[in-house]
Amino acid sequence: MADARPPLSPGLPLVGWLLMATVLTAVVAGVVGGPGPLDDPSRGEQRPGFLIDPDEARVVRGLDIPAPIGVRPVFVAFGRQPPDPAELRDGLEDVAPGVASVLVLARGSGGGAATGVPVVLDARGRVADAVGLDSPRDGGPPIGYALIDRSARVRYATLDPTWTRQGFEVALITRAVR
Amino acid sequence: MNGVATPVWPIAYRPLRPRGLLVQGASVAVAEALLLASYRGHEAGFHWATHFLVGLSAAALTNLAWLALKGAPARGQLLSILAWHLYAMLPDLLFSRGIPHDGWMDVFLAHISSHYVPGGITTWLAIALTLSSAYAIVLSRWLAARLTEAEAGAGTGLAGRRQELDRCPGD
Repeated sequence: MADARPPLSPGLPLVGWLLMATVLTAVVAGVVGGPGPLDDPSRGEQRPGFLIDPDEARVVRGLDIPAPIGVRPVFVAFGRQPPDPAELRDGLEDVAPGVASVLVLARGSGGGAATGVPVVLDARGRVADAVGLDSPRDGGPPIGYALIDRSARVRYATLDPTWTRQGFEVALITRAVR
Repeated sequence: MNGVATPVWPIAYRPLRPRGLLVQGASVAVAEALLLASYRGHEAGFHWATHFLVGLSAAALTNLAWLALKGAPARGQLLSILAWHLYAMLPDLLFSRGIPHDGWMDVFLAHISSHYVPGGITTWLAIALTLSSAYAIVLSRWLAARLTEAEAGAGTGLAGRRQELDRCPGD
């Protein structure tokens, strides 16, 4: 004999949805969280994971920094103050071979010496403006990196306060323009 | 024969078996918790949320469409959330294999464009909750109609459908 009654009470989908909605909202608000003060105001612009099309990339051939722009790809790291040398070394060791590195700081000038990386003091944000790096939500100098290809085109520019811990990502992006 | 009556359900009720839904719900919860932990390990919980919410929206839409077109719930009611989420995040799996993102990856439920929606995660949360609540309401009304029909003695409660039966030991 068939039991024609449905296996669920009609109210159960609504109860299930209410439970899911509550948990999901709590996870999104509490676990995922909103952007931090050092993040990009537009989250889609931060760590997008794809290179800017060469035809749309800005050219920075005349940019005055101690790096072989237009000759080799250049990884330009941005910080607010001299980083911990060990942390900087960890971050830079994932830059692909053949890609030059330079560190741009808003304050101070040390921090790169231990790694042999040229350091530029740029309190006015001239380099960040040139490569098209956004200002973070707190309005201060950017922390992140840009990648300039061997034709002096800026193929990647992102705020990323955690870039020294994103070795795989740095390696992948720098390998892609090598 | 153990003397215990074996319930026999119309086959259309199969996707709504409580035990099946519990197993699916637990599987999805565990899988999503692991995915979230993995994304957070890369400081990318934001990406998990975006693609999960897009996947949840797609699952609600397909379940709604199936119920409207077929007159019965689709299989994999809750697993479809995980399936659509995995589809939406496929470019991230490719990224982990060393392939940068590219514009064509929008075929994976707008994997690139979904990050540029005004309002970001909040907008996607609102969309996902709206669509999933719509499905919950429609499914609830469908169940209420089947219950009313059953109590009135109108066959298996699946008006207009073939009277297929499915033996489900233990349910």
